[in-house]
Amino acid sequence: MARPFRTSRGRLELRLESAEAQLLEQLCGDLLERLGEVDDRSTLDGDPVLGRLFPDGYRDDPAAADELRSLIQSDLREAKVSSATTVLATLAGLPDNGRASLSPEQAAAWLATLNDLRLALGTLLDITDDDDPRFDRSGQGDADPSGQGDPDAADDYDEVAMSVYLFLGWLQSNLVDALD
Amino acid sequence: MEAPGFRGHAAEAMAVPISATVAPERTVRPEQDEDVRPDRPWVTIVWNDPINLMTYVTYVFQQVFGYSKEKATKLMLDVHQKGKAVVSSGAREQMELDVSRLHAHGLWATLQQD
Repeated sequence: MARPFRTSRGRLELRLESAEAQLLEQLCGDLLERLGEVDDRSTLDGDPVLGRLFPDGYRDDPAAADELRSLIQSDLREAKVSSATTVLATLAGLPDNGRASLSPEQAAAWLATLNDLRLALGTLLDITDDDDPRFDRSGQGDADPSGQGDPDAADDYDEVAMSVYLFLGWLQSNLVDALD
Repeated sequence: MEAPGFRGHAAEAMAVPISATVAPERTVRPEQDEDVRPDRPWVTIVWNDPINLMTYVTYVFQQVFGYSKEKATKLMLDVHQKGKAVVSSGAREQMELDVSRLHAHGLWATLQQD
């Protein structure tokens, strides 16, 4: 399988299959939608995904954590939006052969967004162990958007989501190697 | 959502996540009560998490702090194996800046007085 990222003559080259580009486009759209929900602390309470994308800066001091959040959350959100928007622009501009050269700034945006996507999806999947990504969810299905009381549908969703999660990990790992 | 044939990436991708057998716990530590001696430095701590890739964490330490690959790798391994690592120390404001930069890269970072 062709590497999605490679460095050629000092330039970072991207190469994606059209299905891969379409998937990323959809995921970035979903991410931007979630980021659009972030305005103040109240939107993060009880939301594991946003809580992971915007963690507390203090563990044992909620007041200090809130104060720091008030100082940095807006910029952090803008940075994430900017990165995802940059990735979408790259995807929208991909020619039929799926190839593009990325500037250092674009590469940084891709790296940040791939990581945000993995954090979001990994949190939804309740990833807790690197050896055992579970395709069979045990328990409540509390983070299962498709769970409408149909266990088969939930299983299918998890299997697809896990495949996407692994795909994102493969992409990101490849990008880190290319930048290293 | 469609995911055509991505299973093939599994083996490669799963080789690298930084592990988290122990997630950070939100516990109040009694010894932190009222000790505000100004000479105690502040530290930035990165906590283990099950999602961030080991190579990525190393890369971020190099990018954010300008650490050598060796130092960044050692810190990443400390996070991976011990559950956390102190990655920088200094004035509180600087540590808040470090934490915000690490958050921008998706790492699970907090600051506290040492």
